[in-house]
Amino acid sequence: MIRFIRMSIVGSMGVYLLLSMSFAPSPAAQDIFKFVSIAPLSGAAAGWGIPANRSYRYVFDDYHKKGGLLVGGKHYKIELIEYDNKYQTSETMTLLNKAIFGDKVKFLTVMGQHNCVVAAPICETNKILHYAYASGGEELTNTKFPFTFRMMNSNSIGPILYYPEVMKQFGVKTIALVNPDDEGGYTTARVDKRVAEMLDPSPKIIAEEYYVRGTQDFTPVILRVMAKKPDLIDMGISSPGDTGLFLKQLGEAGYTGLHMNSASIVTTDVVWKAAGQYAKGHFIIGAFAEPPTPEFDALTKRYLKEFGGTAVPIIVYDGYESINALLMAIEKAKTFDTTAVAETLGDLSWKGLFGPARWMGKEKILGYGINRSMCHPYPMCRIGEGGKVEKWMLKSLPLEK
Amino acid sequence: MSSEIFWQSMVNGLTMGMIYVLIALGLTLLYSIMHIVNFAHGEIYMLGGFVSYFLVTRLGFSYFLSLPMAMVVLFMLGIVLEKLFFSRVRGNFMHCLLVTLGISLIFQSLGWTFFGTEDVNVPSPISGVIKFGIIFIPKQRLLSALIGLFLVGLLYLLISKTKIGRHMRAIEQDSEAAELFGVNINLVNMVALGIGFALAAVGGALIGAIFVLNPSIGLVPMLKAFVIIIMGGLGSIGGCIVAGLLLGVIDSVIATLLGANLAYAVAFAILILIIIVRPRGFAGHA
Repeated sequence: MIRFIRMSIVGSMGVYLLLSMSFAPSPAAQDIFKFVSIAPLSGAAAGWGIPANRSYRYVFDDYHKKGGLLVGGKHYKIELIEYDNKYQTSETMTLLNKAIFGDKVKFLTVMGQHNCVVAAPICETNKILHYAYASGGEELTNTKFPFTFRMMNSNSIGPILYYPEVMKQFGVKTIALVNPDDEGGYTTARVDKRVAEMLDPSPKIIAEEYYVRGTQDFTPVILRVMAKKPDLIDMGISSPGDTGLFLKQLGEAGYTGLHMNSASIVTTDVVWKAAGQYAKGHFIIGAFAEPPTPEFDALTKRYLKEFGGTAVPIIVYDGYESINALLMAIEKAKTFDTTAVAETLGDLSWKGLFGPARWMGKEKILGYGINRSMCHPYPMCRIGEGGKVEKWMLKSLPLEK
Repeated sequence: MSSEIFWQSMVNGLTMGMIYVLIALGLTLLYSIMHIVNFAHGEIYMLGGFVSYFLVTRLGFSYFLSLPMAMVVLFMLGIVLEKLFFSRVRGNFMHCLLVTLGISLIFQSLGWTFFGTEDVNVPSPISGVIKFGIIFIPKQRLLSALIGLFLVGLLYLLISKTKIGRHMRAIEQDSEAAELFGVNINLVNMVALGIGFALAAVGGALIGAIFVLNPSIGLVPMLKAFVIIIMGGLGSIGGCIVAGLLLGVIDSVIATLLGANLAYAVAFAILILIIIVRPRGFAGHA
């Protein structure tokens, strides 16, 4: 009897396996479009990677509600494959190879300038459409990298748009640059100097200082900068923590001039916690005091409802905007061929979360020679009492073609 | 460099140097009495900062009250650690070294788990600057330096004028002879460890109001404290003060003149020079 039961169980399992193999749809038959995200999901930079992936999922969910991604008359389900690069180049390289040669994806995003710089040549060689979630300048956006698109405004936009404004409104003639002592800091300073030279009238860059990220005592750097008597200190790509501590010590050292972050988007409450009243009036790029469009407002409410908190990381908006543009371009190109999609995407202009948007780079002031850098209206606000974001100006490069 | 910048960086160096002296004094006390090279000293400094932070922000204590309370909490921790670990490995240099390294890693890991990754700042009622002619001195830094000076004076009195201080000096000179004369080695060790921890704790609480706190802040001050005690001479309070102030000034002036990275290089170059030319430091024993 026991033998009979055993035989029946084994027999039933065999029949079940055969049936499953015969009737299960093959992966190809499911019409799946795979998209890989290589971003920090653990460690100190996870605060950027996790919200970015959430924003991509929002776009994919929105497309799924419409039936999926429509390409060549067929609807595709979009699958997001999330890899954790721990914000490290070595991890990024391993995961990039896994994505390209293992998962065989043709579209992916990499986060972090240092990671994107090493990923770009591999993506270009293999004609992979590389969405770079990174700041910086021409090292990522240039004519040699037609498959690489920068998902956010480049570092040049802040100085291009707002150096002339502080010169006009506050009589700024001299600027000191203070940046972290790493690739991002050097690139930012290089970009700022180039932009300053091209502006007319041109501000004079009178000091260029670097500090090790996480520095506690900024007084030596501050004294060196103050000795040059700048009208404006631009902290470029400094993090919120470094900015806050720098501003506190800058105020304590008696500096009464202007200060700004022209490249990094800083969280104002972190700056306020460290600097208090000394943060008041600090110019910050990319932080919105009020929603520029109803779509922006809707995304804010959607995110806060699902994930809580008091503010949505700005990375969510740029993530949503750029991934949405990519899917629009794929549908418009009617193909997954990355060469055709890259050409269509580069020419795309649309109305999005921030208002009008398009890819720029050919303009003389940007100097990239190719339209591969996201451009949309980019605000400059000021820090008010308690770290409140106070509206100052909302400008953009000419976005109409 | 203009005279204004020079004097400003000198003052900055002296005020910061005084806080480094506090941390270094605890370290030198542990070495001279217990022969422990405490690699967890940076973490004790970090914990002191966080105790002050939690007392002020969560329990509503005043900043000034949080300073002695942080000292008391870390003094108690010192006694517990002495009972649990140090008393068992005393006399074995390698075991002591490994125990302190282990404690350092444990405290740092626990710090990341319980205190989080975000930098925090101990809220202090003191803010603003005092202007002396051409020099700006942040009030918080000045206050911290004065508190440091006061505590150094207190430590000097404790060691030179009290019974426990005499016992400490006796153990430092010859622990076996001291024991023969009835000195309670265990008690003195416990008190010395507690005092060493309390000094580091108040250093952390003072720095927490000037800069920011996170679980990894202990490393740099600990390295500086090692430089100070070697420069000043192991076990010497006077040497420690001179070396601490000197290091603070070198740090500040060189960093202002040539950049922060070179300041580290210069400080360690001086340290190597002292080790070669005068291994016992400015005022250490032969």
